[in-house]
Amino acid sequence: MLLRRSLMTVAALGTTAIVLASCSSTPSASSKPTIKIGATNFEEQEIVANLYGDVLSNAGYKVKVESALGTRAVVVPAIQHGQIDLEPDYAASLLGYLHGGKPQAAGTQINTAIAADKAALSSSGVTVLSASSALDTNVFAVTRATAAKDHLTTLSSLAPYASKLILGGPPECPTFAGCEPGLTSVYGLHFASFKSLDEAGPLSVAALKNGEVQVVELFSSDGNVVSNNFVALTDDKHLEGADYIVPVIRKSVDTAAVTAALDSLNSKLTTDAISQLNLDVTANKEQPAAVAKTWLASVGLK
Amino acid sequence: MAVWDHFRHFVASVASWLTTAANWKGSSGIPELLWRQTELSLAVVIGALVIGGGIGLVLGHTGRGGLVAVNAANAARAVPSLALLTLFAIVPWISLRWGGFLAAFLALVVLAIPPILTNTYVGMREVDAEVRDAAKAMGLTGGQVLRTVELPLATPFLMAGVRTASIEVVATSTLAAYVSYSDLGTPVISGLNTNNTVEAFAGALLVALLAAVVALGLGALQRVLTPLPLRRHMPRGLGASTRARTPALAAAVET
Repeated sequence: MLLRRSLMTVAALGTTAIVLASCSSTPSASSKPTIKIGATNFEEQEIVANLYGDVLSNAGYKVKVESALGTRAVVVPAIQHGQIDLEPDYAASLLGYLHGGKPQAAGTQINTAIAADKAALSSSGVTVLSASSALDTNVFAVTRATAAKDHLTTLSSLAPYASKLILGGPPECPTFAGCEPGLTSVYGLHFASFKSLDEAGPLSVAALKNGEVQVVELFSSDGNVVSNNFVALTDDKHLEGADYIVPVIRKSVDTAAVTAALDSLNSKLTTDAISQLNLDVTANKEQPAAVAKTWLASVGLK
Repeated sequence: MAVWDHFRHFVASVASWLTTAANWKGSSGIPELLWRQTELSLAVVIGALVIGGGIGLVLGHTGRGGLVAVNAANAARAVPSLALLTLFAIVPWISLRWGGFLAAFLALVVLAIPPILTNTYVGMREVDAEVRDAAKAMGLTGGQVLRTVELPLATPFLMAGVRTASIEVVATSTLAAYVSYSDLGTPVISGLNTNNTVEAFAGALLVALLAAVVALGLGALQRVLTPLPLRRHMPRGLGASTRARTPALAAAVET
């Protein structure tokens, strides 16, 4: 589960060479420079990179969106070395990456996560701007009907009912800290039983729909929650990492105008919004650049 | 040397995982997982033997529609088992019924039918026409010819199909963990998902051992079930194979 984004494509390492070759000039900070935006091989990142590109281009900057640069292990070194200027990332996962792949305690809350990210990136001339409200992490979801019947909104509110409910999740859930052990130790939830399913994929969705499980682990932003009208229970005691989408930027291009443009976007970018954008790309087969433009217009950021 | 040290450390970790007492106890212990994998695989192979073997026997006996059936069965091999498993599990009336057994059983039966059907059919067609005619001339009915002449002579082929199918099923039944049927696939998938290569490898090793035991066991069974006069033509050991004399059929056969 932790590995979803990090394992994306090792093969794409070769792309680095292309980036290195194509991004050799360093922008000057005085006039409005060309801002090079990078993203990994992950639809959501490509969408957000295009959103960044569009709001900055509306603010008068020349932008170049370099998507599908492989994994975080490609993109983060690229921004640290000045081959790209801006990339969308996830506050907690980025922090884990910057600490040798180990999840950090600071990662469970967004403010501490961003502060720790900034501290780790500062020496290479990179900083992190304010977070969007778009969260991409593991969530525990219930059907709309279950949520209504038992008035469920948060994981805490599950406590009186858990012993009658069946939990579904990937096979490692019973032993993985972010899954069943965490639900027990952090929230005191003891489920009636556990059923092993796929990793937030079609089998998990089907099991919840068919009533085989009543609570299932999904991803917050991949569209499954939205398109199936499920309710993702709020992680009110911060079991999962605060993987909000944040702009990671080189200080040399980070002017007040750039920050303002990205902040105007971040205030509109919610988990539901990015979920719908992801659905448009993965299920409706639209292009990331196109869905980005349409959505920006719909929220008045064009 | 660093690589050698890594390797030794890895082997030691796998050995330690396999000898940890906690991994041998309870509903997620190795004996239980091993038994569940065996149980599922056995049910699947018996199911595939009834369906695939049955169709192969009938088609082989009548000599009609065989090539169509064999080619259709072979085409079915292209269906990925994980996709099929997902498809079955999404259907509400299958879903995770019987603790996920039903969906896993159905997906794996589709995997196991082709080698059994093909081999049975080829085995039946390989029965010497003169032997069949002689049996008929002696007054045996069609059913008697099938039971007492064709089936025993086709058994080496049929068993080769069963063995191929069994090895494929034992290896593939690890996917059942996705539909809540815990077996040796559980440590394999858990290990992969959490980057715990030791757990994943230990699980895979147990699957490989189970497959090897099944291969050897069925090889022995194949020998025992082969009529005595045919046995001396059988090569010994793991590589025991059955060859069709007809080139067209030899291409279709699985050994």
